[in-house]
Amino acid sequence: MSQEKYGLLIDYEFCTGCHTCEMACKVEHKLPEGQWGIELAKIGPREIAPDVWDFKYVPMPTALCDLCADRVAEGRWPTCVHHCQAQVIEYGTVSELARQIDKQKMVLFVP
Amino acid sequence: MAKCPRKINDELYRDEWQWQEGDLTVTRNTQWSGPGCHNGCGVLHYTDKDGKLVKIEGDPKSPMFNGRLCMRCLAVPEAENHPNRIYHPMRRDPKDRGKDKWEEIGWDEAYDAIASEVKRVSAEYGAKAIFTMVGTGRNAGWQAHALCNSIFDSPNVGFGFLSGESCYVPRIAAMAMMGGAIQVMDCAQVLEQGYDDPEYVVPEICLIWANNPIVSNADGFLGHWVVDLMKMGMKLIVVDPRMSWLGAQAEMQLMLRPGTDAALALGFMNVIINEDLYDHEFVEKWTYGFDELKERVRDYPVDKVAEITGVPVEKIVAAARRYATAKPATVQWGLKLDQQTDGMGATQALQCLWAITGNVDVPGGNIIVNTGYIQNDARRLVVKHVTDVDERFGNDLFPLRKMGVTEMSSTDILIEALETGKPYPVKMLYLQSTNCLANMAADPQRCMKGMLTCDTIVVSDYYMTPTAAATADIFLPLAMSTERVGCRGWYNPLRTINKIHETEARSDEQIIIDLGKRVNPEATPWNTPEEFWEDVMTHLETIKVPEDFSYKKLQEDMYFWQPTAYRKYEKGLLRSDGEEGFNTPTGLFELKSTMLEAAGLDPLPYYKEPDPSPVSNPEYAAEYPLICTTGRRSWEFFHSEHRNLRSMREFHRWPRVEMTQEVADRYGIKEGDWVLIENAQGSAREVCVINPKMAPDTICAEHGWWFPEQEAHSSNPFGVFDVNINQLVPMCKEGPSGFGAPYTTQMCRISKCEDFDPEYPSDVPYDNVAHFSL
Repeated sequence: MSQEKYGLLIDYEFCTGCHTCEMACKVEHKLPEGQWGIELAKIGPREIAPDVWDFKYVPMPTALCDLCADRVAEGRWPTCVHHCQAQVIEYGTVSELARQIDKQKMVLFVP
Repeated sequence: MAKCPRKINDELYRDEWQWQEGDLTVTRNTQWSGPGCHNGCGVLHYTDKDGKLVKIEGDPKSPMFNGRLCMRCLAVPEAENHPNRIYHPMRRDPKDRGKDKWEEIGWDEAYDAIASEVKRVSAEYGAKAIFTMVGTGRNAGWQAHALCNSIFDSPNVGFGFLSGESCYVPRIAAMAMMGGAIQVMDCAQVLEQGYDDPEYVVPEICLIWANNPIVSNADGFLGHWVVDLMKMGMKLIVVDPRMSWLGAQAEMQLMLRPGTDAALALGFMNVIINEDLYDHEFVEKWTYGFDELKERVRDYPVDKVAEITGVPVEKIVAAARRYATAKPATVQWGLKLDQQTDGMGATQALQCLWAITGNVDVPGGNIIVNTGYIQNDARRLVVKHVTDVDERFGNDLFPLRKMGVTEMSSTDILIEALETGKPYPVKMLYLQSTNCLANMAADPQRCMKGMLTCDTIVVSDYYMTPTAAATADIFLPLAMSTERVGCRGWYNPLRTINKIHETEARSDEQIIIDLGKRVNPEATPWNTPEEFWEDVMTHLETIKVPEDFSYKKLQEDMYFWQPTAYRKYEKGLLRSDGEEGFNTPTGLFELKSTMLEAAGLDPLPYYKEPDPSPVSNPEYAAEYPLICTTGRRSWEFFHSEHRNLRSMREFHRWPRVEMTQEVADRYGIKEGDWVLIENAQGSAREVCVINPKMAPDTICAEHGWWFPEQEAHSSNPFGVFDVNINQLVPMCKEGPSGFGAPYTTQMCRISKCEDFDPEYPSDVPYDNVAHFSL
């Protein structure tokens, strides 16, 4: 049996695009300018019907995301999870996180 | 407050205030000094054996914030350890202002020089010729009053040329007069159990008006509480001339013409009263002046309001109905109401709106906060009386000032006094926590010229700023964050700010004590800020505490929750006489303000067309056809702070001016172009970004910009006059109450800027994210 994979579950219905995850990740991993361990993507803003707007942010872990292996080994949460202002990032095993998908606009990343 | 949504490791995140983790000391703390905002978030400071701050994390056990942090707080180690920090006082001959002719001096020499000038100016001109300036309130607000009123014995403490005191003071003044106290959106932020408090109710609707709280976090309000409540089902109506993330999530966005807020709020009330959607019981039992308000709103039929504001009739009607019929409904309002000449009328209107709909001090409405004004206790301990209070600038012209509605001296009068010597000369300035020439001053070049007429200027700050570079004779370096003690209330719970290590920089409290010893020793019997704060805790008037309460105990306990209640007006909890009702002259919530009436001002909400505007001055508008709003916040910066942090500049390198594609096309501008924004008074340059939806003919330009990477000592210090948008805003256009100024309603024109393309040098330090080369 393969080892259980870990991931990040993101509720992008409520991500406000505050950049906390990006900054926390840069500080934690000492990433140089131009490098990111998690990066905000943006949907819209786009008017999809009169006065109805589609405008969402989605934080996306990059190839440099190690799910904060050092922090997790110490017993901490990954720094993006810990600091997210909208509290929309959760860390866990893929099966635990998948069970938490109980609404629309959620995405599970396995970096 | 909100709880941390996930399991907390109790070994790593403890309940005590300080512990050791390997080589590091971990201190649970309150981050409430610049650079940073009003929130005072719960943080963990990790310091090494030398006391150096090596890491910051959000404190997951902080009941207000539960571990979350914004990007600016994550950059606190970068700010605190920044190579441009100044740690030693410096002096410069006044004839060398603006030049790099600083001489490092010791603290005693700096204090002696200041004390000697205070005594000389007082003897020659009277103490009122010394003016103390302060920036926005954090852990350095009351200290300016203490310094000015007690040590200098002058009545003149004011903002750094913030025209019309146009940041929260107008709203606080109106709230004090109409409801008797500050009222804020209820996010359960004053309740120890937070959202779990059995009395708390999630608002059905939040009317967000004149602010974008998730970015601005103003006045002790964590904007993401709004997001917490959205997750719990709260819906939004957003009143804002520009598209924002919150606006896009809202049920309705009302994109009004900037400066027409009062008309829109009066239009809401026209609908609500005419359609009988108001709360009869509250209005009849607890309000004063409803009939007059009813009469007033008849002047604002919805079609007329639609014409004034640009918001369609059907949207106004729908939004008014939705707000009035939602139970409870709350209003989260903001700065842009203060930054209009007649913004007071809008402020009155919005208070009437939440009062007539029965949302005052109810769970999930707009609660009255009468807890946590610890700064008043601290100030009271130093300031026993104010000399020559009648001579404070503005008190003779504005009755509300004379009535004591604010204790700030008017800098709109100060600038004229500096230029003319009338009504009396000002010869010495002491600037605390204000980089006014980059930030709050309107018409900053005029203000700089005025400042330079003074004999002596003292600036206290962390780094060299445009203001200090251009004007200071003495520079005092301030202690930051982990280097200073303090106390935070505003509003609940009470908590300490813990000093972890000492540097050569000193705190505002220490400076008051040290200067006091030289100028007025009776006013400052303490030797250290710690002694001072212990004394404050035994002289509390705003907070009831147990017998054994002390600063040390508060530090160890982390939090002291003050009891609070809903519907305090029914319970005799608002008035000093213990009677039920509001703390107003009539004892009622005054829709028609008796104090405003006594001051000869309009006691009812009113709308007046901004000047200039396309309506009030079409001739000017023909030349300058766009409305320029300023002051929108960024994630990366707090006012003029953080521009020196390379990490923040990676996210946000240049000042940004928002406009729609339609406006950009009209002027041949592309996204990313530098744009010259100008009007008859002045100009600034910012980079175009496209916002897909804004009120017509409106642009939104950022404030607070300067380039710390550029030359400090020049006629254009740190490039501030290339990019400071307040160069388009006049001084001395304050509202009839003395409050409010037109920062948000200037007219302008724009063009592509061909001859401006500053570079961001590669050698700006990036210390926090060290160990790499660029």
